[in-house]
Amino acid sequence: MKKIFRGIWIVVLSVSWVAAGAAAPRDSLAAAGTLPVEEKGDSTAVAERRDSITEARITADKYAEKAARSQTGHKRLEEADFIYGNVVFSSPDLIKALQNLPGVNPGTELMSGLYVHGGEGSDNLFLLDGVPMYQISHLGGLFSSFNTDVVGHLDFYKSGFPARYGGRMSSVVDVSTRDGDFNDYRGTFMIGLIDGRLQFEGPIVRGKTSFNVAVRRSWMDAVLVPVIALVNRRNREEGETVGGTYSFYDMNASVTHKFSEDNILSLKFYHGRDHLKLRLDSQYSPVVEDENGNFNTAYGTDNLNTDISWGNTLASLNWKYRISDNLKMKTVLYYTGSNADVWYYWSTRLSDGTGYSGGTESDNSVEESNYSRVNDVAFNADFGWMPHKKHNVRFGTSYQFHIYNPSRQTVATSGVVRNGTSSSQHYLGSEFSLYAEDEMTFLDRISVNLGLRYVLFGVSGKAWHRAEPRVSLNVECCDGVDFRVSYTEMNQFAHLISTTYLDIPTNCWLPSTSKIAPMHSRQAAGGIYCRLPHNFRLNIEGWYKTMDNILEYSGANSFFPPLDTWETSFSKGKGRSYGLETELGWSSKNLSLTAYYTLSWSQRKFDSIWIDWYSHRHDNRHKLTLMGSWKVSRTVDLYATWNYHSGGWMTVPTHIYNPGEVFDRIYTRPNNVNLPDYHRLDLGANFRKVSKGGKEHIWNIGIYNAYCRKNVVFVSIDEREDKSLYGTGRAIFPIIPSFSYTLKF
Amino acid sequence: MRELYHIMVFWLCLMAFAACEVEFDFKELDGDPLFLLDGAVKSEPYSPSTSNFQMYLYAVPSAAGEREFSEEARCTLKVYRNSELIDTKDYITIQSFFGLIADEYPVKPGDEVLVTAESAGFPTASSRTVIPQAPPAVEASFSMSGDNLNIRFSFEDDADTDDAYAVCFRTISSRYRPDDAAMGTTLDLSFGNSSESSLPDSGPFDVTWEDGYRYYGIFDDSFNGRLKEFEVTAPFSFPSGDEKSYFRIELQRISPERLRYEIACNDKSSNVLGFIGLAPVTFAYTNVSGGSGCFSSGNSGYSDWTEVVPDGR
Repeated sequence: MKKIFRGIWIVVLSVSWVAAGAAAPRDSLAAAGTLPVEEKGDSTAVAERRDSITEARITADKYAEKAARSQTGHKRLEEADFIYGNVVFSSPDLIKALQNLPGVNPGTELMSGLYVHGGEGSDNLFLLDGVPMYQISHLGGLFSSFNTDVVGHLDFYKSGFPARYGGRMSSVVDVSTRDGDFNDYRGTFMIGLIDGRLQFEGPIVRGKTSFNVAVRRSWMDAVLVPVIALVNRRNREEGETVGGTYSFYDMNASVTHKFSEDNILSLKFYHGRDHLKLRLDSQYSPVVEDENGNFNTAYGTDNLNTDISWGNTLASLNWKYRISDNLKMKTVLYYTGSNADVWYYWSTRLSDGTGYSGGTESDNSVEESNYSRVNDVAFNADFGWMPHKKHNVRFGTSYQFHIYNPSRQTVATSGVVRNGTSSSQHYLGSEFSLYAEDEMTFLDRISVNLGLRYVLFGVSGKAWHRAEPRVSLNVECCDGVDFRVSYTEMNQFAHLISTTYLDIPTNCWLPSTSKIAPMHSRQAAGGIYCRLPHNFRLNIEGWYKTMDNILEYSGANSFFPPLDTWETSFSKGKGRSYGLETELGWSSKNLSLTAYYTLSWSQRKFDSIWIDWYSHRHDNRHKLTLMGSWKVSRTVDLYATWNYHSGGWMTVPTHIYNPGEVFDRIYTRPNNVNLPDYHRLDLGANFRKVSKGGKEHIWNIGIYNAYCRKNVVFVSIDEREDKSLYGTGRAIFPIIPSFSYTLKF
Repeated sequence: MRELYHIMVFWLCLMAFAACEVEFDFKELDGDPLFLLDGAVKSEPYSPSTSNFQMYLYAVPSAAGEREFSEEARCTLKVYRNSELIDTKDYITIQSFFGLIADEYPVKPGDEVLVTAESAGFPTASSRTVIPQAPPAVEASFSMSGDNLNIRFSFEDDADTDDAYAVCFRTISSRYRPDDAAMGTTLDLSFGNSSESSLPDSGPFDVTWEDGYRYYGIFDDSFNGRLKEFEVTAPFSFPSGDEKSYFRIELQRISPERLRYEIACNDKSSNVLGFIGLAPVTFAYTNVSGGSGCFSSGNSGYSDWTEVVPDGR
């Protein structure tokens, strides 16, 4: 039992939902009506219950309930998993926690990349309380969009996807937020180096209705003001001035009302936004020759203004209702929208003061705006039915109406001549799905999850039908040792169109069309999952996955994907990935040690690019993560994480030639060069103090990349005197110390 | 957009230079050299019995292998017309050669021309093209507006073929109307259609390139079988003295691989993020088996030389 707030104790028991071993207590508890049962992801948590004597919160061993699942590749993360091991700017980060897991490649350093089992990065289904989220990060990936103050837990699936999930090809990240406290007010305030958070929750009607609100904002804009002033002071004599600001914020809000323990209605809302403004002005005075051969001093100005904003808005109405003792229902009506607006104006003016228009007088400008928007309105209905204690049936349906609407306008002016171009796409997509799955148990040691999902996606007169089988088997070989296998297929009808490997607002989502087939994956996985004596656990899992209809941009020289010709500007190919991942852990009351290791291969084949399979750029052969956390005392805990993975791959010209002194390149096989290995050590410490009033003060100190490893983010290709090529890797994230203060009240 | 792109790249580079650098060798590069062919066969209306052959041939060393070729090394270039060998050039010195090979061959529209380049230590490079039929007649009109020449022209595409076109605007100064065979000089469009432009992707054309003259290329997939009308603007200045200015348009029907190659080369050379591993690199299109580059063909037609009259006259 753990005292968490002002001496009040709340009881929560976590029990398994599906497995034979855990079915009995769940059944008995629910059937007896002693405790209300609430569905939470794959497990069933017995909802909070106050008794007349005391209030307490007990959390069952999460590893116990994990062993009772049949899915492969599943991981549940809870609050402690977010906090320990993620010390970037002392801000807990859900995505960074996932990046540590085996089978997951983080991609570019410090970004929110999630390349799961050789996936593409844009093929992960992020759900916030069941609502898909398109943009999952702020500041180009430095912070995730999920505020950990309100996150209760997340379920992460890399394989063995249950039939109720669909729409993305490689993984599912199902994030559940907490309802507000129904009885007491409490909250959290945090202030860090570049961001701050405030969360507050409590009852509206005690015991019946609660709220939970959290806001987060960065203050990089305030930090940038003196930096910009210093830069401008230094560059004043050169006639250059810089202006700019950047900030992000997000807000989570929920109101939950319990008509009864079996009838719960909740309204949830999320809104997040990033805003970047940049201004560059320069003045110069070149000496120019006029038509009569005289030299004059001309005056030139260059101006650049950009205004970029991007973000998500999600709103949902959730209703959970127990129809009978063995039938329950959950419905969600939601809206999710993502937009990224980029505006840019550049002008240059040169005048020699003579009015001689044929000479040096020039006035050119380009104004460009790019809007990338996707909006969904959808309805989900999910049912859980237990006709027999050895059958746990889930079935449901969903309908999503998608509106994809990216557009771009360009106006270029040269003197009095104006040229304008515009391009846009407007797609209305309907995605309808049905699913059913049955978790069956046999002989008390075998459980099978048989599921099937059918999807119909229609857009612009084209209908795509897909049936997705989902099968998983769990055999409990002996006490504490499970053997599991699974086979799943997934389809993805939304494509993130990007001309770069960066997570930038110019990327846009577009649907499958008659020319662009849905992305499709097949994955078989299997493993052994052991809870060993002395609190050791060992999981070993392997997978083989194939992917079809992957897109790769084949143009260049623009941040903006071509909208008019996007269906023909991307090469279509396929991918495959296979590997082995292991988890070895040990935990005691105060010390927890975990090691994750992955041996994997990730390859691509695009017939228009190369005749054979080649390495994906994130084909990192080995990945090792060592994590440890130590509760030194009631007031101090320490944690450390060491990450290592083999270097990624890059395409380097195999032949170079320079007629006319122009360094020209011939590329043959893609991703033909292995980059240096990646590793870094993160350290952190929390110092806690509980005041007499029950307030908890937490001071966090973190060090990112403690030994300042120069990890390569990008590489320039250079030529030595002997004409041989070499790479110069740029490491842009050295050691980063950080600090934050958190107050829980 | 290019300015924003360059500024972003500049900031990225600035950030990088302020941080740490790590040098390392590329160990996995291929070791064999290859031939890069960049050439075309072009039929002209003024010499219908022969076609002009022009080709740049480069012996390109591997980025990891030998960078210099021996003095004795030779390349043999063979030219076939409809599978019949019509020319062999076996004197090409590899060590220093990256020059222009020019000749005239008796090939006509519809003929297939195959070229091969061979040398010890190199994979044999080969490429073929079929000489297109004569282009459609071009209807053109133009007028001066201030210092700009507004040009309107149109032509009708052949519905039965998968064509591409290259347009060249030419001008010449002369006291008298020039001969039809006079070539003149290139007239560049004002902006939006040259590789130096701030807006290379705008305008009606898919790509532009320099091949003695500046050509503006367009695929026929957007107007296949239909009349296509163009309206473009070019800065225009008149000669001093009593010479007059004349203008005409060359319309060349070309094999589409030339446009694909030029687009890929433009993209490849400007793909700054691709060079540093932050974007897909551009794999230049090639129709050369065993090597790199492009071998294409064209068939030209011209409008008449017409005098350009100054605005207000």
